[in-house]
Amino acid sequence: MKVELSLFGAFRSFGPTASIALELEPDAQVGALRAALAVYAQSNWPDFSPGLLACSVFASASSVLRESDVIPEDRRLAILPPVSGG
Amino acid sequence: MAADDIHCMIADIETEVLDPARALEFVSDPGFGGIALFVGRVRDVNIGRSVTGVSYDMFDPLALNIFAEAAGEAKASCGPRLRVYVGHAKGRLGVGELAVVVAAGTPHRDEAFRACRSVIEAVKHRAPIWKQEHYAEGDSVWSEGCSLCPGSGHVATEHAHGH
Repeated sequence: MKVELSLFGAFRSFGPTASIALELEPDAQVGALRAALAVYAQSNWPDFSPGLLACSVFASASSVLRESDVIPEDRRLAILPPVSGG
Repeated sequence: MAADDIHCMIADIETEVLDPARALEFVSDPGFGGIALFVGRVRDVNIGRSVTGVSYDMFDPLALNIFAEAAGEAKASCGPRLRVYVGHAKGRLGVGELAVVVAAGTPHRDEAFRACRSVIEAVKHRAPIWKQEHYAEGDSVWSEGCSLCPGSGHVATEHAHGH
């Protein structure tokens, strides 16, 4: 299944688009999305820092997700690096 | 959004600016003798470097959820007689422009101060908002910030906050 991942903060600096599409197995969990993003990033983002991904989380429009959560039905998620509002 | 006594908003600076007067008006009530207001502005310096502006990036729907959650938590800890306004700017701001406005209105000052403080801390540490500082030398840097913790929406690790 195809997952649309929106990029925010420092993740916007790595490529020209505000979102990317990643292919996952049906009923995949968030942990699989993390692994797929790591592979994508190593191949497509020359300036990518694995450390940034390690301290980032995935979220739906309503909540931050755990690694064991199943990908939401709408397959639209966001990668959230450490936050710095205010 | 949220309950009648909680107002959460995002001001896209292309079309709107934050207005503290609007926040004060929203949290006012004839029975409230105390209002606390926090206004966050863009500084002209960061870690010794001259700043010319800041760009705020935001995951809007989740940010609004966190604002409302923080206001609800303030209500739970400071009492039900509370009105809260939370507004945050999105886009590129110049030095001195308003980045965030939080106001809390309550019968007495103690609850107002506590509610306002708890909400702005939640906005800074739990809301999906990212700050990119633009420096006088021409380069731009994303702030390091706080890692989020799944589920609770709280920060994953505690560290000293100078921001």
